[in-house]
Amino acid sequence: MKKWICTFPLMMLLGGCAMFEQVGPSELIIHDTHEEKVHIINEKLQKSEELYDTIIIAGEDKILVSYKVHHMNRFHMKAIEKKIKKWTEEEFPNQEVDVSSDYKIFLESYNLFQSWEEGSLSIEEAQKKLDEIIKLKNELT
Amino acid sequence: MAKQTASEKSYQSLVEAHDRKRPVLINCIKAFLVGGFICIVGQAVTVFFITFFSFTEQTAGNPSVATMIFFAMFLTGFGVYDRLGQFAGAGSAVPVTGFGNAVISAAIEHKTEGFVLGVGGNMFKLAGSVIIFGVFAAFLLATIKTLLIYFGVVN
Repeated sequence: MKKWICTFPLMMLLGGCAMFEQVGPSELIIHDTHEEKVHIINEKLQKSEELYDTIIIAGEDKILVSYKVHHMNRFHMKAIEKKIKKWTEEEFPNQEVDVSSDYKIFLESYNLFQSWEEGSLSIEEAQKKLDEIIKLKNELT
Repeated sequence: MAKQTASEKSYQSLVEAHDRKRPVLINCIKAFLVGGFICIVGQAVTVFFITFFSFTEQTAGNPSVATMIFFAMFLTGFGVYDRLGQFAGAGSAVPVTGFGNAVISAAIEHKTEGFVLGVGGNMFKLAGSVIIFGVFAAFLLATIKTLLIYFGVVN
């Protein structure tokens, strides 16, 4: 019993570390037309102190921005999201930009980024995957 | 409360002198640790749902709660949760797992009275108020939201 009391929290603690592992910053450009915008967004996000890991994916008509927030700033998660959303709307008024701090969206984005880097995805497949992630992001229940 | 007579007062002081002190601080620490442990398990379940199924941080809450209640029901059936409850008190009752424990312990208690009138009739004796409160609150909020949308206050 005592062994378990020590082992279980340790296992949880180490498992929890995996969620905060830094993997980015990464950019994925499916359609070349958005290259400049992606660079501008990436530069802006790199400057902000609250975020530490970002993935930006540009599809045919949509750009998806996902990021991780430093733990002490998680209380202001909504405010940070609002701030970034407002900035993107002002900077690119004609471009649909989806912003998400959700861990699942980050995870899926990173998986897409990795398989794109490996070259195992065609443009259509990547675009379809991106649409799926955006659909998942907008789900509420 | 009625005024105590002199003999009642002296009896009260006698009781207080011999009564064992309640270890409030120790109880609080136990409840904190066990409650926190249950929450760690809950968080692990949430991360499991996020990683292996298509749930986001926002939507993973519902299946996690259901799973935790299921775990508590299972442990109550095996008699583990009762011991945990004796040890930790509020630490095991306040998290959502206490709900599962309340349902199953009532069901086990009344099993001898038959399945319909015993188990069926008494299963929600303790937890029924929680369900009613949830359903009623949801109904009320949905009504208010529907009315606000209907009158164009929000969209």
